[in-house]
Order: sequence, then structure tokens, then C-alpha cells
Amino acid sequence: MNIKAALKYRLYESKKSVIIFYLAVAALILLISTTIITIKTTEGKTNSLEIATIVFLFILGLNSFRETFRFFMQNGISRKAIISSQIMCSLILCLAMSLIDNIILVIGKNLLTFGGRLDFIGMLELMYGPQNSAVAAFPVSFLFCFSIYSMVSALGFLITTLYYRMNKGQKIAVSVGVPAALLFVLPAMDKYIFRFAISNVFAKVIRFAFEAPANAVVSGIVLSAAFYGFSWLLARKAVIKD
Amino acid sequence: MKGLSVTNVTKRFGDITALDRINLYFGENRIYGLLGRNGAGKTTLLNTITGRIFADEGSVILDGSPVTENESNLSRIFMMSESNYYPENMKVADAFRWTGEFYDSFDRDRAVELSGRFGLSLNKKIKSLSTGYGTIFKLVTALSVNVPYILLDEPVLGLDANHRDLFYRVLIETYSENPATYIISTHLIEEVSGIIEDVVIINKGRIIRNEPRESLLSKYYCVTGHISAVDEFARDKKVIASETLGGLKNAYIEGTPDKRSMPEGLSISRMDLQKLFIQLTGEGGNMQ
Repeated sequence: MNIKAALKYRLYESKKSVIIFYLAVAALILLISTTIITIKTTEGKTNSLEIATIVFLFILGLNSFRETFRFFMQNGISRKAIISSQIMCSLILCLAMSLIDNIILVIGKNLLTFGGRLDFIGMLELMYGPQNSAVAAFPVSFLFCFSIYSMVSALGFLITTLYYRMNKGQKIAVSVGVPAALLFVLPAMDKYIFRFAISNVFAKVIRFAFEAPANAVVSGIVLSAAFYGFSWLLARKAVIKD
Repeated sequence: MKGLSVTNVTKRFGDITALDRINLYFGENRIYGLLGRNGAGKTTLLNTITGRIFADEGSVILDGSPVTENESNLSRIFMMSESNYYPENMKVADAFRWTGEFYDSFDRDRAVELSGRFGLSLNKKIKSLSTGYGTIFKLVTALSVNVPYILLDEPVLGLDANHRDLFYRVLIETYSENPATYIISTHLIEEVSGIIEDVVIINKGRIIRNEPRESLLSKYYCVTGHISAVDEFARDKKVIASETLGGLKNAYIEGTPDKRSMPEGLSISRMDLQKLFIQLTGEGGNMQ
């Protein structure tokens, strides 16, 4: 009962942002189309509209814990329902936005070409080149987008949950320490101590995880599950803070 | 067992023990006053009962099953907090709507009616409400939610005398129409003393008194008269406090007065809860 109400609230809260996001996307496409129609010599490409969706879902994930947790605690919602409703809400949004983005892509590729002067290129095509079958491209692109969207949404949620659990000192340490470790310490260790062994392993893992669309879909889903798993470990002991 | 039981609950924040082996039982359909000084552990206790924070030791049981992370039990308890946990941009009307989604028993019409009586605008954003109206919003929600256990943490914070009076009347009205267990945590002991049936006094994380108000107050009395007469009367009695004003003295004495053997010129009156509270929790240690 409460999971249902919590999910309803989360979807209601996200609805406005999603509508504004797609209105902005529609306005952008309209602007590009109008420019191409008006200026006859203009040519254009819209590369990976999905990147905008990824950024949007990451930010939405980042804003999904503190305020909602306090509100749900006020209303007797268990931590289990708080996490479950977040996962369900994220899955629904990612499915819906993946579907919408791919429909926009199909419309753009087929109806908004303006005699070949405008080219819509999706994230799948950008990463793996044109797909052999146009019919198969849609479901593959849909699943690919969904898994990546789900992964970034879960990552955003994990980060915000982690920051909620930390005290001020820990927040500063992580905010400074993690970028410093990734940008300076790790590369230096990799170069001078491990003789590029770390970067080689990392490159191999990334290559395997994303070398084909199917690998990327599985990797995205596995990482989403892992991020939500860690979020649950953090959220199950979260307490209300003033 | 029916009711809300707090068993051996201990909560520490670093070196500070906010709750020290608390044992309490809250029965059905009674009004409890949870009294304590600032930092005594009242809010920590209420937050622990509702599972908003975790006890280091002990348990909170409602009708035989734990409260923490128990959907069914959580939906039977509502806590009005001193802090505001509602989203900043949420309007009062929307908050009522969502409370109705989370609590089946929430009476939205009652909330709207009470808002009218308190002069609370439904279209205002919660963050734009003054301290007093913020409290009124939370009170209206709590008094319309209709669950068996309602916890009110500082329910009159920032309210003017008129609104406080209205709140007490509405509380009695709501309790009469729809009995529930109310646990009222407050500093304004004098105002609440006429409403509460049971008194729980917490001091430095420990429960120092937990009994019906009448039973507690009947253990003490106040003797008033000339200083010398009062001193003479109280010489062999346990005086918990005294005060002098001009030539008159009040002595607060533990025990039951024998009205037949009262010396002339002395009068006896009931102990008042606030006076007793001050003595029980005042500086110089607790009176056990």
C-alpha cells in the first residue's frame, strides 16, 4: 500500500521536470528545423539527443533522496518502501524516456531530413556505427538507452544517498579525495609503480563491457543493480536529520 | 499485548547517552504528557519510537510486533515533529492530499475545516508559513490523520495564546469524537496539565516519573502560612521545595496531609504539576 503511494508521489514529482525537459528538446528541434528551412545553405547533425537525457536523469537521481526521505519518514514510509519506490520510479522513467528518445530519433531520421541536410544520429549509432537492419535498430537502441539511463539514474541516487549518510568532514574528504585520487594519485601510481597495468586492466574491462550493444545493455543493468544495492545498504540505516 | 511498549531503549550520540535504558508503556486511548527540560531526550525518544532514528539497544513494540520498518505499524503512528520535514515548495493543500495518500484514515474535510478555524491558508507554500502557522499546519495534519497513536512534539511552538487555547479545545474535541493515544511533548506544563491523564517525566535521558497525573500529584501537597508556622509544621516532614513572599511561605511537602491536625493559620492546597516538575528536574540533581 505504502510502496504504491510512495511510487505515485515520486512519479508525480518527476512528471513536471520530464515535461519541461521534453518541451526544451522540442523547442531545440524546432529551432534547428526552422534554421535549416530559413537558411537554405545550412546543413546540420543532431548527435546523441540521449546525452541530454543522461545528464537529466543523473541530476534527477542526485535530487531523489534527502527531501523525499524526510517527507516519507514524516508519513510513516519504511526505508524499504523508500528504496523500492525509487527503483520502480527510475525504471518507469528510464523505459518511458528511452522510448520517447527513440521515437524522436525515428521521426528525425525519416521525417526531418530536409533533403539530407539534417541528420539525426543516435547514441547507439554514434558508438557502434549504423545498424544493419533498420527494424532491429529500434529495439536494440531502446534497450541500450534504457540500460545506460538506468545506470546513470542509479549512480546519481547512490551519490546523493552516500552524501546524506556522511558527516561534514567525510563529505569534504570524499569531494576532494576521490577526484584527487582519480586524476592524480591513481595515474601516478599506474605510471610509476604499476607500469600502466591498472590502465590496461581498466581499458580491457571497459572494452569488454561496451564492445557490443548487447554487452553494454548487460553492463548497464548489472551496474544499475550494483548501485541500487549499495544505495540500499546506505539507506537502510539512514536516519532523519534536521 | 495491546499498546505501545518501549523496552530497555538506549540511544547514544558519541559520548552522550540521550536515552538510558528507557522502559515505558503507552496504553490505548490515553493522553500522555512527555515532560522534560531542553535536551532531556524527549524528541530523541519520539524519533526512536517512530523509527526515524535507531536505538542502540532495546525495542519498540506496537500490539506485539516491532515498529521499526514495519509498514503496518508505521501506518498506525503519526508524529508531528518540531522540525518541518515537508518539501519546501509543497502547498498546504497538496500536503493534505499526500497525507491522505499515505494514511487511509486521514480526513481531508476535517483538515480543511480545522484550517479554517485556525485561519490557515490552503494555498500557501509550507516554507512561506510563519513559525506559528507552520506549527498550525502540522497540528491540523496530526489532528486529522485519525491513527491510533499520535505523537505531538512541541505542539504549541510559536502559537499565540488564542491559537494555543483553540488547539487545546480542538484536541479535546478530536479525542472525544475519535479516541486515540496522544503523547504530548511540551515545555508548557501548566497549560497542558489539565489535559494529560498520565505524566512521563524524562530527565537526562532517564525516566524519573511515569504514572497517572492524579496519582503523582496526590503524593505531594502545599502548605501556606506565616514563615514560622510553616517551618514549625514542616520540621519533621520531607520538604521538596519552598518559597517566601513577604511574611508568607509556601512549603511543598511529600506525603498526604492530615487536615484534622493542621495548626491554625495554615492552609493546604494541591501541588501543581509545573512546580513539581521544576523540583524533580531542577539543578542540584534529580529528586528520585
